[in-house]
Amino acid sequence: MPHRVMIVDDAAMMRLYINSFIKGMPDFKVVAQASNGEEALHRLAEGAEVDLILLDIEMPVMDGLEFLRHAKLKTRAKICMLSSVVVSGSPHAAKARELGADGVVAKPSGTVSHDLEEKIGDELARTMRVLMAA
Amino acid sequence: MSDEMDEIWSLYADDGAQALDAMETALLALDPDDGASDDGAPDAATIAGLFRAIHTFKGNARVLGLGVIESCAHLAEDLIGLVRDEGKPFDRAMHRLLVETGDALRQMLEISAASRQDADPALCADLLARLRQKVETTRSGAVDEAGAGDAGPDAPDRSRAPDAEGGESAAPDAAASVSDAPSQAVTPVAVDMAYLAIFHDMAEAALATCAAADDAASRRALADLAHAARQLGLAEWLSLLDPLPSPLSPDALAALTAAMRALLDRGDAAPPPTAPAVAEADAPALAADGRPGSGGGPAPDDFLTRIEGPLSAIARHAIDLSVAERPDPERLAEAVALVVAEAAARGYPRIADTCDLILAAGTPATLRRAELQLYEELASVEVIERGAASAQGPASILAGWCADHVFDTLDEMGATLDRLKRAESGDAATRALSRLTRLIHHACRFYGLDTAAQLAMSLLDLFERGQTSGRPADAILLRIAQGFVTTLELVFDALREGEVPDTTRLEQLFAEASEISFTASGLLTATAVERRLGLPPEFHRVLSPDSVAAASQALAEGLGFWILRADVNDDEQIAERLFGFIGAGAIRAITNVTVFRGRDTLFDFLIASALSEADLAEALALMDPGGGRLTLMRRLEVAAGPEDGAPAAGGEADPGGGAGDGPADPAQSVALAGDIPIEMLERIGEIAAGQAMVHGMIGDLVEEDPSARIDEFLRASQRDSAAAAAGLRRYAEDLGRRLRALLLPETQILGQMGELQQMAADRRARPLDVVLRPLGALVSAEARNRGADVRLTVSGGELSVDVAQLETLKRVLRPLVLALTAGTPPRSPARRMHLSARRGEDRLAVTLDDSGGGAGTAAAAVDAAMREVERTGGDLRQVDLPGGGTRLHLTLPISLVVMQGMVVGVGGVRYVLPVESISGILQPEEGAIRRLSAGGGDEILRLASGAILPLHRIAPPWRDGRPEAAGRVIVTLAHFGRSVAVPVDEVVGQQLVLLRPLRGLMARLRGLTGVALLAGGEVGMVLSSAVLCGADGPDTGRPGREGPAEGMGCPRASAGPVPDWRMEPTGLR
Repeated sequence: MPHRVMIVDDAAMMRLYINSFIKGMPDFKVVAQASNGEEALHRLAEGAEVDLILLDIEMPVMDGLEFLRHAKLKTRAKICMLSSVVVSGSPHAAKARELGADGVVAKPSGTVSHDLEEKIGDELARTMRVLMAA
Repeated sequence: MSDEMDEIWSLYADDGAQALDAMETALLALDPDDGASDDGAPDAATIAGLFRAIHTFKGNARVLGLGVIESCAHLAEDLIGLVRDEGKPFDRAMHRLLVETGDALRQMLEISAASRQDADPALCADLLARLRQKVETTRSGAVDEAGAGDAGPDAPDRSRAPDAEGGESAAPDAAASVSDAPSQAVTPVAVDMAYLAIFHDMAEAALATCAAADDAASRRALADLAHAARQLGLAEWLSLLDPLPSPLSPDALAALTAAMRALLDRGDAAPPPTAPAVAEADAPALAADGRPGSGGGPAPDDFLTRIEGPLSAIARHAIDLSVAERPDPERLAEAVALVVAEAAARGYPRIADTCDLILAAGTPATLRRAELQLYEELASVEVIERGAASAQGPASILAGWCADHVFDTLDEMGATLDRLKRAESGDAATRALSRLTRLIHHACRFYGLDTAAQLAMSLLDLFERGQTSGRPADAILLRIAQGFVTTLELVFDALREGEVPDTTRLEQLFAEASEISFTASGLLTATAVERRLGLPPEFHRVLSPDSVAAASQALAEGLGFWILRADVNDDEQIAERLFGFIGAGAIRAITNVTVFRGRDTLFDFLIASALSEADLAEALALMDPGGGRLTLMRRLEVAAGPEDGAPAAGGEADPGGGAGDGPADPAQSVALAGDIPIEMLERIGEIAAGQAMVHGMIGDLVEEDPSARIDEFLRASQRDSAAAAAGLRRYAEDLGRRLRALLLPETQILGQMGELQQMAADRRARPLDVVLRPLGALVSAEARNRGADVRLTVSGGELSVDVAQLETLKRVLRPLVLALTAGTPPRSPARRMHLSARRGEDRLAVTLDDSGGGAGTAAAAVDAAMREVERTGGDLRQVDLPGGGTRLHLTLPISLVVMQGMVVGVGGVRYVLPVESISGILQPEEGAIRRLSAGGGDEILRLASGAILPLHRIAPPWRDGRPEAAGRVIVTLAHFGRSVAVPVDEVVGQQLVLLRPLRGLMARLRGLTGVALLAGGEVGMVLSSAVLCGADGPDTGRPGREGPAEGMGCPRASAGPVPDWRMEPTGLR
């Protein structure tokens, strides 16, 4: 059974790209999407069963870090930050770790990531699999 | 035994006696048989005093390792704690039991003080059992035989705040048995101030002994102190005292006592002043009734409040485990089950998971880790449920514990880094590092070392990423981490000494960690790129090695840099265009930051391009015809960098120069970005299939040989024509049916062709803004360069026209407005230009109003524009405005328009009338058409309603205007309030036609919009209803004509100007 993934990103195109990328991974399946942290919390409260959450940081209404704070209590799902502001050594990356992010991957910026697979596909896939294996 | 230890034991005896005295006093006051309340609500202050007395006694016993005595006191403390914190009734049975316990403790005190040995467990086993039983029954609220509580064991224990137990510890080797555990004694998370105070006294006594210069006594005192330090987990003290210098020379002793004095003076035997010592004073605020939750404290149903009891039990279990007592697994399971139940009720599954770790922990070290992990989870709960960490909450307890043990943690981290350096046990070491950096992070937060706390998490992140990617930690990262450990040791040392630590090195390390990915890649650092571009600070956090590399490359190529704001989140079409444009290489998107506007998400892109600002603006307008979605926010001025000798990139705009060596024309690249949509392909497929069917049917018909068939019929009827007639009739009818059957697919094909035409035209249609809007940026840029104030505004940019016409407009308008702008002297009065566009039936009209000093300075450009316009069948006129300034009227024929047309026949020629202009089709009654002699022979049509319309007979130009329509049918047209009646010979039918512009001489014909290929292959002339109705003028996009048109071989209607479509040169008027 594939691991169930929820994508939380305010950029519709980004959700599209990530979804498309995950479709190429037979061991993962996107089962839910949300455009901000609040919406994602509602999805969880409604009973969305997910194993992995790919989480953007900069979102309106409720950002990814605030969602992380709540979700770390509310779900057993692994949470992987996937954001352009979590470059290695960045304050956001540190904050995400402080709040308990299980994985951190910096998504490419500049093109709203239509080159997601090309630039970070390997890293993202590896991180997702490592987190699920942990 | 030294004198000093005698003193300590004496102190124990004295203090213990005092505590027991206080206990007795309190119990006397609480005696139900002596007038004290027996209603279960005793005096809170007395109860609190009783609790403190027992607690103090228990602590003294613990410090001296008197486990039996301590256990007895501990249970008594638990019992009175239920009254104090949970409001359990203080009944007679409890009172009697506590009195008995007080007596027993006094007896044990005297024996232990004399023998310096713990009490014999057998002597108090019964009392301990009864105390334990009473605690359980009181906790459960059940009634026992004595009238007190006694019932089920499952009620939650909320008796106290997190346990005040101090650090009973396991032997050092117990902790060391776990590979990555620290070597010092294990202490539970909570810390007790009371024990530290006792230790402080012991240390003072030991110093006094050492000062007496009695070597043996000094050794004993120091050994005892080491024992106490081990029990409390005071690592620094242990590092001094265990092992003792051997031999204990006077110098060594002096050094040791000096170090001890230093520790004592800085208060090291007690937690820092702000540390959350979890003792009774730290319990949740108590109301007058002794219950938690009132007085502004947490609500009674607060999760953390509800699990205080179980947490206390877990802490006690940790103590029992660490002092090698036999812990009660059932009691632990009960406590954990309560926490799990509460967590489940709140939907906190991870807390339940952590509780599983606690249950599974078999050693003090693993239990401590699980306990710390639980406190991390609880700290999160505290922030979520209570909004912030409180001084007594789990976050503070956790931070305090981590601060107390930070040197041990740093030691362990240093050792782990060494293992990593030697490439030993990579994954395990990285996991250990993650755990240790979290502990250090909490310690740093405790001391307010925010940079260090953040750096700890950065290091954790870097190590974790390395582990995830399967890469070993590189040398740079290890160096930074080791620097972090070393620096923090100094910082914490200074803090312990009460000095202000030097955190400069931490700041440097933090900067190094921030740039580590750039340093490792050998790139320009993010800082260097930011400096050269003058990049807004918000971009700092998104500069990845990739984006820095892209920016460096663009700098080296001398590209210009802009900030482009894109509001495309809910407009997939524009987003696709933008990404297509980026993909085509016209611009490079270096990176982007997110900008929020309410609930909308926008992106500010840092882009680089070889395009001029005007071309860039034009390209954006192409992608975003409506405007507002793609906006050039600002151009970045590039500073020359010491790294290269190249000129500053992108410093000069190229307003008129086009794309230069850059990418292809952005307009074209956008126009070509899309593929043929699937709908068009489907329609083409349907047409092809329909056509194949028609082809087959026609082929069958062609194969028919009517002559042969007639001969057959005649032969069959033996040349009897009458007999053959019936068969021939059937044959003819069959042929007719088959021919008629062709009509259906043919009609379908016609419809599909029309739709295809429409789709194709739509695909080529672009809003005028694509050309008009960038002109504004172009003019502004050119004016800026010349120090002039010129602005160009536009209206009507939403009109949609074919891309070919847009190209014409661009070729005409761009040099024109540039020439006009260039003719504006610096610092001259503000010049305003306005471009407005209107679309007529067959023409596009653009007006350029210029407030400047006329087009004289741009005469060459105007002439060139006129030539270009005429070449395309358009028209350009220049008018001087009364108040100064100039107006240029430009009209261009609209090309490639698909329209619904009514095909009519007049004199054997096919014409197409715009269906939208047709107001009626009628057969005139006799006498309805009249010729007006007073009107110069013009004809009119009187309608049945009495209305009169001018009659216009159409005739092709090559017949010199002579009307040829028989007028059997009249088509009435209306346009902009004017109507006309047009006699035709036949109405063929309605169809979609693709209007093609007229070329050459035909282009000069007024009244003709264009030609169209009709079904059946004929060519139809498309007539302008505007001209026929005499409604051409400014509002129609046609060059206006003052007064009615001249006649053209047909009488002029009296009701208005009569259209004219004789051959008539148009050109410049």
